[in-house]
Amino acid sequence: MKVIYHCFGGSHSSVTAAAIHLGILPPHSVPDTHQLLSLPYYDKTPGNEYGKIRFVGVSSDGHQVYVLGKENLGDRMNEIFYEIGRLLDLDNEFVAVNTMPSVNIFMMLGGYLSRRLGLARLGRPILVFGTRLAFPRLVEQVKATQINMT
Amino acid sequence: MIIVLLGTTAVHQTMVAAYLYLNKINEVDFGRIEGYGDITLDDEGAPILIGADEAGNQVYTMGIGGNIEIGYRAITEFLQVMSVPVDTMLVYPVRMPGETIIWLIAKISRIPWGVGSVLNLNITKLIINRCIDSIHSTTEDLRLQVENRLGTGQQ
Repeated sequence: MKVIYHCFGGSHSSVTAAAIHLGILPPHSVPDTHQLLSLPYYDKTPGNEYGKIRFVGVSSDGHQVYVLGKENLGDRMNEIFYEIGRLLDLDNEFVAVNTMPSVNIFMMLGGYLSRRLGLARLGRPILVFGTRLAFPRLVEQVKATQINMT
Repeated sequence: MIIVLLGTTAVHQTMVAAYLYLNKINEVDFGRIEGYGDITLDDEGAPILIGADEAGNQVYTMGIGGNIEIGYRAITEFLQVMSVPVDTMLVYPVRMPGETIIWLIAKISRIPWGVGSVLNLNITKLIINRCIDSIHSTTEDLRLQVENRLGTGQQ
């Protein structure tokens, strides 16, 4: 099965969720700055990558994990994938997860400063703080996704 | 093959394009387009089956809101990720000037006492009539793409 985690920019919450899913980030300890900034794609996505589904890795149970930045498509992104999947009879072969409900104001502000305005030095500490704060919720989302997949 | 025409809504420019593509109408005659402007059909976000062309390809319309570019790209990527053969589904964005206005009008079409409905039908028809050349070009290009896809069967 394929799992697609998606958020506004495809750089922060979706990437963190994908890393939890793949076991790169252990779910029981909140990651430090270095761990987060070392993640593939974390706070590195350029603006022209919106809409591109990027492969992150394969989980221990063989599921392929992807991330996507869907800009302002919101929950509609899930509907779009599932409707297209239904037409193709693929709806049992993938899971799409919107990680935006786990995102807090610090992640939004930090991400905006870093990715949109290019002020990484100013934005990243706020972003990392926000991601650490959101981490337990992201862990819950990933756990729920993994349970749904079994 | 399944053909999905993407637009800001599934019941305005996409529906006109689908009818023109299927030769159900030659000129834009909104009275013959069943469901035109009916926003309740678009509520669920589900594709709407319009019909099948001579080759048996099923034609759907789908509304994805105001960000067609990103939605189209994400669907195209999704089809690749899911290894869908190129001759199984063709997703085609129906773009035209005024598409954002149509989307906004669709949003306000629930204004009560029939006001929203009147605005929805009249303004969108006006916009589409003004852009009909662009929709005709779209359907011609769509025909070429369908031929190419079915001709090659390759990505």
